[in-house]
Amino acid sequence: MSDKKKLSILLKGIIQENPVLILVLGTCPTLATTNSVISALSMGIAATVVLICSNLVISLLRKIIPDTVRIPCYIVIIAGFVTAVQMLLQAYLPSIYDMLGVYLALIVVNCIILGRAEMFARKNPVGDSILDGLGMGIGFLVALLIMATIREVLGAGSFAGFEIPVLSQFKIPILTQAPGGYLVFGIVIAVMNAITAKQGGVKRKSFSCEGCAMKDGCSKESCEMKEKEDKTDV
Amino acid sequence: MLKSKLMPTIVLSVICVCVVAILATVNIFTAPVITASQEAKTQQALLEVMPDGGSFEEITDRTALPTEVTAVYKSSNGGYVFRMTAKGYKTGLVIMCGIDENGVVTGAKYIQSSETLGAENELGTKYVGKNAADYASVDIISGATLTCKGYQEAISIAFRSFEILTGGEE
Repeated sequence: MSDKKKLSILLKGIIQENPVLILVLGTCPTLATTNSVISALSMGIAATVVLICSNLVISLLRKIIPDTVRIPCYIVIIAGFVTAVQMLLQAYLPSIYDMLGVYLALIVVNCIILGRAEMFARKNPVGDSILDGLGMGIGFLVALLIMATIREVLGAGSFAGFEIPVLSQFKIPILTQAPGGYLVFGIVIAVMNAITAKQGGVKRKSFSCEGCAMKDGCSKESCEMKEKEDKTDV
Repeated sequence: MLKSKLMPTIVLSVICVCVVAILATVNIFTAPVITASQEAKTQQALLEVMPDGGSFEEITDRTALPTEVTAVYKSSNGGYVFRMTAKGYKTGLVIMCGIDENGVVTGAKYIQSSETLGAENELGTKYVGKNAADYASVDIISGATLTCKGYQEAISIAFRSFEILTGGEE
């Protein structure tokens, strides 16, 4: 595989397929930890570490794990890494552990991690999976930092805990709480869509039944209707 | 057919065992560090309430004390720090109070509270220097009557416990 292709695996996670802003995965920690820049940074780094490690292991074991138990296996592996990260943080960086609180443990059910395992790591070699994990993790971190900067600077008048002289007089406190968080999230996604639309549209998540765990029970009604719609549009 | 049911089970079990083994190893390294830092945190919280306390040791036998007392620490200088849960405007007002060996309050602060006015901070400082005789004379802050009463109740429990602990030793 050429270097250019490898680079594109890495970069697509940052813009074209940014997990938070384009694929809209992992919104729970996004909204929860972006009220301050430091906590967004911690969450982004923790999730990236888990993502890279889990992609690596799942890619290594992809030929061994039988299809029928793949989801339980992935979850055990991901939970193992998250628990290890939890223990290490609690021991060596307790202030960050306290800051992330329950959301550290919730990384296990972060859709980005299970999603990439399912959509990429189980079909691709180890090197590519690591790059994909790194790219998606950086994309997650960048999205978190953008949201956190907006929310902390405008909502609390500070950046990473340092007060900003003029802005701290004109705080909009609701931005650091849930309603404001949703608002900022929506606006950032809209801006992201506008930017990528100019570049000729974004690669949408392909709707194929292949990766879906529920394909055997799915009636595929809405998929068939959408296909008809697409055909009449053309 | 048995093999197709057996393999997945085996693979899943092996993965589980490996993950557990790795986590157990990490735990061996991190568990002592975690306990040590939690200890340090508690000691620091106790020093805030009793600055000259030196070092503290928890007294685990609280059978003689009122039930509201959830923890007692003895300081190396002979004083005690009590943690109790009182009821102010709402239940769940957790207060730590330090009483030194002479029966004088060295500090009081709240750990957890759902009180509405937020007067708990101020209240704590008002009690410093009081002893069993005059703590009841601390003024009520208007608008936070129930909080003040709850606080006072907590301090009186602290004094009662102090009596019990030091009375027994004499």
